Amino acid sequence: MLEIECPWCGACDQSEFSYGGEAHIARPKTPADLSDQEWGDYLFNRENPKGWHREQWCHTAGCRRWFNAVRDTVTCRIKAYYRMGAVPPEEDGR
Amino acid sequence: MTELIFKPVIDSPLLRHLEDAQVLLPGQTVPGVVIKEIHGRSLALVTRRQDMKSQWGELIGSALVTNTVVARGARNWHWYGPGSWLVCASGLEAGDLAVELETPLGGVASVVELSHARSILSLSGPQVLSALAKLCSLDLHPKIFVVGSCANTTMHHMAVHIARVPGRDDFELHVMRGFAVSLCEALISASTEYGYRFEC
Repeated sequence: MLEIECPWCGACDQSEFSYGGEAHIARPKTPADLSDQEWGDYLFNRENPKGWHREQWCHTAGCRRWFNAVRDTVTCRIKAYYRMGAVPPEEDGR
Repeated sequence: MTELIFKPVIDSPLLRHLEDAQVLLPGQTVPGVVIKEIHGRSLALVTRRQDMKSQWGELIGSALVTNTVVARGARNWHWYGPGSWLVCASGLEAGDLAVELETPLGGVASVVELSHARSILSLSGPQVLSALAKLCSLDLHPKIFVVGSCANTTMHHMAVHIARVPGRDDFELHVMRGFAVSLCEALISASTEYGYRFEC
């Protein structure tokens, strides 16, 4: 089981959290203009990297807040946490 | 002064389903775990409105911090999430706590009466930590989860709010009343090997 560091509550067991999948996937502003391929990409196709993955978590059983984490999909080590809507840590030079 | 349209009736779901019981080990005189239902508690959930942070600071101050229970007069404020607190009081008529909070906080925070929505249990006894360790993933050691700590967590897949209220030496467990019987059964099952007393 992972120990996840909730930005509000501190370290808690993974069983208190819900996984929200890959982060930073914005819903297209005008879905009607998209081709089936583009809409399918938005709905189903994900990066699925081997290595660092930016993903969403919700502390469902605790403070009920969503946040982002950067997790290594091989080792499950989490190296950074940041708020919803914030710039990912690798991109702001940290 | 606003008045509630209807007053909630606060009764115990445990009284209808469980009976007081004591199981002692051979030679034991004091049960390892004591599980008691707390009656007559009023609860209200206070959630600060997003754009009211400065007004909130003027009214309430900044003493209410993460994962902490703070006593303000006769009311205990339990941290319940960012910008959200559970206020507990004893000896009030059902619904009166929400009305009391609504008067100064109306417009700055929303107040929801929850007295009828939760069952509250008190856990104590020399083996209480061993019993809780089977159900709760938090570190409840007295040096880590000190008096005045609180947290939302899960026990036996049920959402539970656990607190060590200042001035008391027990653990307080808040659970949605529909899960109260399940939680008591899980607690009793975890406590049986230490000997227990259950009172509702």
